Amino acid sequence: MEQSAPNPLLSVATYVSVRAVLPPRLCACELMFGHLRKLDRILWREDECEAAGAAARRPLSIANLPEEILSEILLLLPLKSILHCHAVCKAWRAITSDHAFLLAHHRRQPPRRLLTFVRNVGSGDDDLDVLDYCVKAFDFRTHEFQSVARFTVKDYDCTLGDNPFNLHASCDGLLLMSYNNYLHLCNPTTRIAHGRSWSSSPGDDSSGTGRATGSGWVEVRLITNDIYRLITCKLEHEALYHTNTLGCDLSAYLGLGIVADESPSSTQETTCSNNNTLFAAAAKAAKHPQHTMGPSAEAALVRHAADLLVTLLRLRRDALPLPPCLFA
Amino acid sequence: MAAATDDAGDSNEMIRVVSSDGEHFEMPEAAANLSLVLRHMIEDDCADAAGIPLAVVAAKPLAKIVDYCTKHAAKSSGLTIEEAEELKRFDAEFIEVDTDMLYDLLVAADFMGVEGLSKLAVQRTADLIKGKTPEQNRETFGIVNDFTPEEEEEICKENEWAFQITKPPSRLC
Repeated sequence: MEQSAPNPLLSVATYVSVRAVLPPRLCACELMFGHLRKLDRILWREDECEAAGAAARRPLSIANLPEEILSEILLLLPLKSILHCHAVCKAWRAITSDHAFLLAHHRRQPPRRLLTFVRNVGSGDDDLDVLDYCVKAFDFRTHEFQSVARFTVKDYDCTLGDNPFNLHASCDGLLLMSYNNYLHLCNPTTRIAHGRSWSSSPGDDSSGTGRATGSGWVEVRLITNDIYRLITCKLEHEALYHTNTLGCDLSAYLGLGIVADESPSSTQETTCSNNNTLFAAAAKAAKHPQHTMGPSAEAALVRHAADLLVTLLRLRRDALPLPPCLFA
Repeated sequence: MAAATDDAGDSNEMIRVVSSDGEHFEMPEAAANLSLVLRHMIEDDCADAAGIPLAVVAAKPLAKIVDYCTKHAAKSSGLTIEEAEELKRFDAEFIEVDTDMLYDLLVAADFMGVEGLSKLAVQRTADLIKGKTPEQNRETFGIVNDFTPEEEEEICKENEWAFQITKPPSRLC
């Protein structure tokens, strides 16, 4: 054996000195350094436990796993469990609230068909002041329903009609809904929801992420998972929404949905495309005349949706490299 | 010792490893190759009669890992459906361990770079977490609740699993 090329992982005791003399000629050198760093962390954790005092000392357990392993584990959990993990301890909360973690978690989710259910919680006619909406997704692989979000409306005004709630679109897990001229965009995983009235004057925000393209078409550009998405909607009595991926052939629609479910308080269906991460959704305009959106309202709605998406995804607007030619 | 030749392709050589608490284990080279760290050390001729010392892996998990690698190395290529089924059954039984051992396996498999075992242990842990309330999870894994009562109340509110739609400030139409 030529000049004792020692195994760099001799023992915990000699770890520090070994690190200093680690022979650089080792081919696996880089790998070893990686593992020394891991060792570093594990030892550090042990020290930390000892420092906590003998009384509070507990065996190393899942709870103090290195963060990478822990987040690998939590990534495999369904949405509801992630929410439960928020409440376990600070460390778990930090991991499951992390933006990168949520994106990674989202990418693992299979495409699902979204369904909206409306159910009245009240038992009789006079008791109808609470309304409960449930958005569920259907997993094609497991043939199971999964709750995505639930909305409860207090002080529900019966005179407003029987379908004041609409699920308009869903893109990469974000849901765009409206209720009583009030637009809600929420991220069920982070539980952040934004609401905004679409009747506010269009000039109040200089965003310009949406534009009318003539003949009633409105476009919105979204950036999710670093991919441009385009949502277009056709106005008039029924709204059509298309989603598309920007940056590739714009004429190739990935999804198109039209739903004209006229049954009163019922399931409203949305369609999803076959694309792995992309959902296209469609919704009909509300049945009642007072809820039918005019073109300007619709345009404002879509414009706000883009704004809200920017907020939800915590992107800086000027960081969005939108092609200027697409703006009016 | 048998000078490690470059073409270590079909060698039946046994690789010796030493746990952090000084116990020796032996496994075929093919099994050792399932660990990224061991493979690199073998390639670098670091494997000798004294054995490769694994500083953070204790004897108990190491015995399991040697078991796992030996089983998987023996059935690495050209699996029939039956053999694949058997390997699956072996995995399922193998990972039926208590949380302390599971922790040891997670750390050790990650440290040694045994990918299959890492995945198995990670999936098992996720299965244990799934469907439990926060309190049950704390109990299972011995986690201390480090939230203040106020924080907890806030989180409780968050977890009501429903967004409250407030009355819109101005109703148009």
